[in-house]
Amino acid sequence: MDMLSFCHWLQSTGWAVWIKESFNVFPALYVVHIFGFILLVASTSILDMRMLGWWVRGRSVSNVVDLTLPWAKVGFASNFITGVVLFATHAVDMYTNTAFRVKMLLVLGAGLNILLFQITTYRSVEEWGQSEATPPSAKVTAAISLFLWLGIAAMSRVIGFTGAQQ
Amino acid sequence: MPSNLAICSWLENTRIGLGISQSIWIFPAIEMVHMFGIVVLVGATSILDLRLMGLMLRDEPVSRLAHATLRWAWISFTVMVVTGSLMFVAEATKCYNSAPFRLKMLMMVLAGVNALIFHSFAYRGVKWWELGSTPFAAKFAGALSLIFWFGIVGAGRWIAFY
Repeated sequence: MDMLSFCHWLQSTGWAVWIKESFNVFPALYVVHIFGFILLVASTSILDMRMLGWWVRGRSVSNVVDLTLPWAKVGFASNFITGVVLFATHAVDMYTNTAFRVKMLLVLGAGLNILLFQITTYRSVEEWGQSEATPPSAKVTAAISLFLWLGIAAMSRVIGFTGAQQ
Repeated sequence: MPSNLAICSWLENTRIGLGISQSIWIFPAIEMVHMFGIVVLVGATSILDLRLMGLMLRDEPVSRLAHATLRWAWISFTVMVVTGSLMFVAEATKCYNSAPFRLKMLMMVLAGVNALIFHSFAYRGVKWWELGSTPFAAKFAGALSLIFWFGIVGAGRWIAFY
């Protein structure tokens, strides 16, 4: 079964139809999705600012990570769950929507960016995390992260405007 | 004195109102800036609210955190008012008639009153309690503020569904 057929099947399941047509559940899911977005992007942006040496002063990088990571995880988990459910209700439209596909690629990119950072520069955070000045690689990671998360938010808005590919 | 609906209609037909609503990209662009503003504004207020409730950053003096977060809050709030007003002008009648929109405006007033009361009373003596556990008034104001701001965001999203 190819992806498109799967999407057709998914959005025709009983619960997907019920959610899509319900008066309150569908909007409520979107609202929770926005809350998660606020939690996630606020957390990552604060960490990114610290790594760029902007605004957040007086706290080591590890300290900022400790403070923001739990919130980022909650926001991401919440958005992953609501996102899957929201996707299911309009699976075919989402799957064929260019902005949605770009958004998913950007999310993957953001994850890879974090992973790469963790296995390289972040390994030595004890050496450089205390000072205001951060290594260039940390700055690059943070800039990419800011760009990606804002891009993800922007793509989300565009999803409603670009129609299906076919 | 023209009715409110007449004023809305007039607003929508101004050059600005028509310019925004008739363009393919201007309204979405304004809305996107509004969305980014939400992250900064609600992020800033939530951090302070959680501190007031004693749930986060307990070692941070409240006045110092308030100074830092409120600066961002006021700047982003200005952006929100500007973008929000532009969107209202473009769709004044629809917004005026929208129950979620009215609820959103009401909650913004309530959030403002909550902040005003807090700053006029409990916050006056912040130097006395900013390093220990926060007084109940601060916790209450923080909790109300969180409820209002997330309610405002939720109502905002709901406008499109009604």
